[in-house]
Amino acid sequence: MCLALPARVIAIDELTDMATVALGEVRKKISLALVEDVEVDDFVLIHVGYALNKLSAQEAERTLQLFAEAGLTDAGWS
Amino acid sequence: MTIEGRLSISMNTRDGHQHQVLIDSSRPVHASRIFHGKAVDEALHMLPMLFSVCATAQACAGVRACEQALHRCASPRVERLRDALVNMETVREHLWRIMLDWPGFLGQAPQPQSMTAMLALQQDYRQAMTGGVDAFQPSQTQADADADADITIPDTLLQRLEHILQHNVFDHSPTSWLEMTDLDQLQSWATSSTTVAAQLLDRIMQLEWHAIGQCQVQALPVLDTEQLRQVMRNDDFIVHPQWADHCCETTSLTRVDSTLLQLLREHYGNGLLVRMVALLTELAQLSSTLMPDTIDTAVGGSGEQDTGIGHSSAARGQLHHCVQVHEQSISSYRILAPTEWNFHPQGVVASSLATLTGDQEQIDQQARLLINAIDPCVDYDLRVQ
Repeated sequence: MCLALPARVIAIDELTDMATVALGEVRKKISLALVEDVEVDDFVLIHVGYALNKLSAQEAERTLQLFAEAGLTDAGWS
Repeated sequence: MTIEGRLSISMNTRDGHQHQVLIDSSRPVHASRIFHGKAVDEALHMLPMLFSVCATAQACAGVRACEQALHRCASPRVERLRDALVNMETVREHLWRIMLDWPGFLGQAPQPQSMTAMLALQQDYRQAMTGGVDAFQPSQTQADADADADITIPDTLLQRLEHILQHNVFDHSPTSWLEMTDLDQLQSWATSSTTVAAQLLDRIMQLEWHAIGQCQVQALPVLDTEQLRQVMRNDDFIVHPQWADHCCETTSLTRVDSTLLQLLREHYGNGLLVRMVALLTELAQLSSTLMPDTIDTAVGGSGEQDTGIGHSSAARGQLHHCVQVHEQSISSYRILAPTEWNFHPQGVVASSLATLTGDQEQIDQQARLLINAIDPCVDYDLRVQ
């Protein structure tokens, strides 16, 4: 299925327009080229290396809860 | 981080001749079980949050399946509105391939600026079309009450789309690009235009890779709802679908047509160049059919049972949802996605890659182009050995 994951931004490299995001214990570098005004601690929806859009903390939490209910993640990944 | 799943594709070369192709998928094809026990409205609300890449196509197939299971029927106008929103999502996804993936095949950096403009346009288009109303809730809700209201899209939105496509993809208006009818015209466009799409097609033609990957796989037909209702109960079918004992393809190539494509098919079958021209053709055609009144919607199936089948034409191919409703809550929810048809272990990608010959580096390049043209939706690993 075409899943995109919510992840919390933990660092931003403004020179390269890249961010490091956290999903549970996992860290990943993604491009911020498609979204504007992202700050550390924002939640973004990520898909194949890009942030697609920003999410509120509530939306991210709800979506991660759905992933956990579906057995795709553990609870408390944010 | 592989929650979204991956495809693992390995090609075992046999002395430069045809090789064995193995495709293994870890896609979470049963994630829709999360909806079991949920109310219909709640499930439909959750659906695009979970499957957010093709959220519109998923929401469309989902609401149609639920409406059928509930013996409801949306008005033709609402159905056209839904299809228009799905089409705009397809435009966005095709543009994603062209602007973010295709530059890599030319050794260039992705071009995200045009995608940013496209994402903003998609949002504005949805707002203009729906006025903020959710078109993907079952009929007899607000969406249906507004069914007879006029939907007018500001011309500026369509002009913005034409501008994006003209400057980033076609180097002409999409309509005039569609006027090409032969290979000489295509070659001349590819040579003279500077867009990534033109450059990549030019490179493929220079390398004479027009027909690579050509294979015999039938197009997925319009599926009989009653038969589908039966086979979608089977877990194996959802993971490795076949129709009438055959693997089938469902992509841009199997749903668009033009004089140019007919000619290319005659010469190069379903080879690489034909696939790429099919994607560009669909992009150009969709850009002129985004007004709901120009869409011919056919939503089939009777609603005599408590199990509904919903269909939408997603960017990557036909998408089907099968929903069983018992006393207003969902007792079964299954999704059959195009990637499972196209990346079936004996499907079109496996057959196509099996025909590649040459040295390892060339096979790797050709395989990646073909995989991208068929478009798996998730990341993949490719191993040529």
